[in-house]
Amino acid sequence: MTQRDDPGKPQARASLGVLRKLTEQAANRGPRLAQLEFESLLREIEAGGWQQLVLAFDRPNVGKGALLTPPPILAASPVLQVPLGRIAWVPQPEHLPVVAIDVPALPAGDLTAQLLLLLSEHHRKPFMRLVFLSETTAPLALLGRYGFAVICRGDTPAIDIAQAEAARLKLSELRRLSDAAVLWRA
Amino acid sequence: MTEVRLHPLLCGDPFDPVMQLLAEDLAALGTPPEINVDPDPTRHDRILHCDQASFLAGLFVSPLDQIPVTVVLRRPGPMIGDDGWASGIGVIGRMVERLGRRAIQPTTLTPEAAAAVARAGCPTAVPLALAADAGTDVASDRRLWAEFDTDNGTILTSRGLMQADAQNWAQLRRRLRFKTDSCPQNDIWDLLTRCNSGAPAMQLPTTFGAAEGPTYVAVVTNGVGLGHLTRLLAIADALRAQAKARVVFWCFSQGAGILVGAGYEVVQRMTAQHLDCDYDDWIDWEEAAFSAFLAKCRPAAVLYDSSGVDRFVTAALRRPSNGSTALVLVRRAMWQSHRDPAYLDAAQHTVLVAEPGDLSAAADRGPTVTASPRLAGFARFARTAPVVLRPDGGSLPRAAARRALGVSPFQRRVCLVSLGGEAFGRDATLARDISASASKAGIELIWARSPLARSAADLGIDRALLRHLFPLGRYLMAFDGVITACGYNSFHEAMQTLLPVLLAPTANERLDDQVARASHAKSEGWAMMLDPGRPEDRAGLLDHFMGKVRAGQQVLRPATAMEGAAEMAQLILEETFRGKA
Repeated sequence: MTQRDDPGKPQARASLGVLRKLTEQAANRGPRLAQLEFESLLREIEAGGWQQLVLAFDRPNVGKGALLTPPPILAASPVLQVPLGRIAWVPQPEHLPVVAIDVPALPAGDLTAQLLLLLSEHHRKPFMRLVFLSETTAPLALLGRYGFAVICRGDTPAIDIAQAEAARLKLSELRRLSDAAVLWRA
Repeated sequence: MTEVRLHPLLCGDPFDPVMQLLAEDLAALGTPPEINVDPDPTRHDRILHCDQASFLAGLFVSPLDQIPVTVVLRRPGPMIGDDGWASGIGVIGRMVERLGRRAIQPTTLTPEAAAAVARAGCPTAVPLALAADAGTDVASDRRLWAEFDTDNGTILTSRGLMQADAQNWAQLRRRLRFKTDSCPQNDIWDLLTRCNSGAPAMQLPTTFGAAEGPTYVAVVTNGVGLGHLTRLLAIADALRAQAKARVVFWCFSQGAGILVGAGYEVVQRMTAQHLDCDYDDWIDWEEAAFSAFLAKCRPAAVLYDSSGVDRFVTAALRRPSNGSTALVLVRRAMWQSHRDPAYLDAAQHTVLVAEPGDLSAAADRGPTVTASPRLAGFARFARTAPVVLRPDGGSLPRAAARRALGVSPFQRRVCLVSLGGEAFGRDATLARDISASASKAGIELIWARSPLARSAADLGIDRALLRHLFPLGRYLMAFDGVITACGYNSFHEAMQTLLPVLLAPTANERLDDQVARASHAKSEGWAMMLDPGRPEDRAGLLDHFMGKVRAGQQVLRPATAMEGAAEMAQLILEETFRGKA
């Protein structure tokens, strides 16, 4: 051990002090940033219009667009991390289980209300990392902006997607957005 | 009762050129192989080992009495070392002698290899007969001549140099004819000779899947705005119009809903950045998923719009199952001058680098103008007219556009403000200054909110004046002036009008050189510019601009036809699709 590493020496004690202070600052900054992000999300939802993108396409001879899903991959590499979302903070998010949330196609008001309920709870007391399995692309941009994982599944049943993504994202279960009922467990 | 269709099983190193060639030959015969899975007599009618090492290793998992086995006996080269080559051949020769050719069919890539193998102790090996042996029509062979440098592992063509593993060899066989005079008679010589003889595979595909025309997979990267998405959408529309093509989007942009709304099939994906996960791990998963998807829909080409090409794409295209798929790079110019020219080397992975033209090209000081790629491969390079998304049915007439936007018919002057994906994050004071200046001049503002932008709630913009629209081009006739970001699409869309335009470029490191583009437009008299480096000039410029809008001024601009998307589609079809035979 060099003099610089020895915590008994004054120089090393000073370095440790700086490190401790920086760690404390980071720990304080995390919850504060999450609070600001949550407030921004609330303002965005309250302002309305987050789902109201008007697409000026007029293509009578073209079929309806569709969301496809690629063939399932059973194993390719180590499991990928899933983000906690920027509206929440815990010291070690990687220790939280990863839970898929089935988001069906809903009228705008219902979707807003149900997402708001879940996201408020997630902000207040995060106990899982979320992967939204959405039937439509409606919530993709909003949830993506706040750092959530979203898979737009189209007509493919949420359970099929949860099973297909279980190895990649280490999903532990699938729950319904409206009442949190468990639809599938790994 | 469902008929179970048997397929061959192909075994070996997936990045071995011979495996890539054989996989495509088998697919061309209508029997696409399964690759390196466990042998199963209920699924596989034969096993084809691409080299003797794979065959010998396979003896432990596949008893020879269940499924007939073909083994390609290779001469010394990258796959098989000189040491013990002859004794290995001798062992296999004795096995064939004992078990008979019904159980083991020894084969080689060329007659010359068959003779060498016979001398080494396996006299029954014959040159492999697959689809590629139908003979070459020399008169129609338009492939480029190429030289393989065995010392450096590179290939030199008249268009440029490339690494030998930059592309799937099934693509190389289609497009290159190799000189073999100076190559020693070994496995590389056999490989090059076999490539030279492959007639069916050198032709471009005629039909794909169930669609009437060819299939393409367009990869939309995750940009700051919607530039990549919009450009690829314009090209996809043109491919549909010209060849009834099926275009499927592999989309990392959070604007994926736009593509679904435009009537396309979309696979929405998350980047490593979205997941905040390890990039190399993400690449492995993405490559596996992308490769499986390509194998399922067998597109004529992957269309990729960016400066470079992500590794998951090039790796997936080198998989044996994807040899029939080429790569086309749509590469906008106007890079920032300090950008690394090494990105240009992505050309070696492609068959076509298509550059959408830029009205401000004269001001381009980026590497696409100042540098040459070290590895250009055999890619064709072409520059088209600017690529702009055409609104369906054209732009709405003024009254209809105003009605659609909910603008009062009594409002005399209206100005559009469209600041792009990072609109309200980059400079909160800009929005306030624009509002103040417009208010002084009695001009109503309509704010276009990008589908990717955060809410403008903090900026004091009246919600009633916000519009969430795509594409904006449909409504441009409603306005008397435009204030816009200076990304490729916004700029060229605005330059099509006769309206006064005020450009608000950003100096974001991730973006193109917007300041150069806007400065050129200003110097040509096409537009005014808010210089991000001179905020002190802003108020005066805004007042001057609003004066022009209030006066209803018109601005003459070059009458360039923005038909780049149609030109791109034509180029892509020429390089990747032969049309119906």
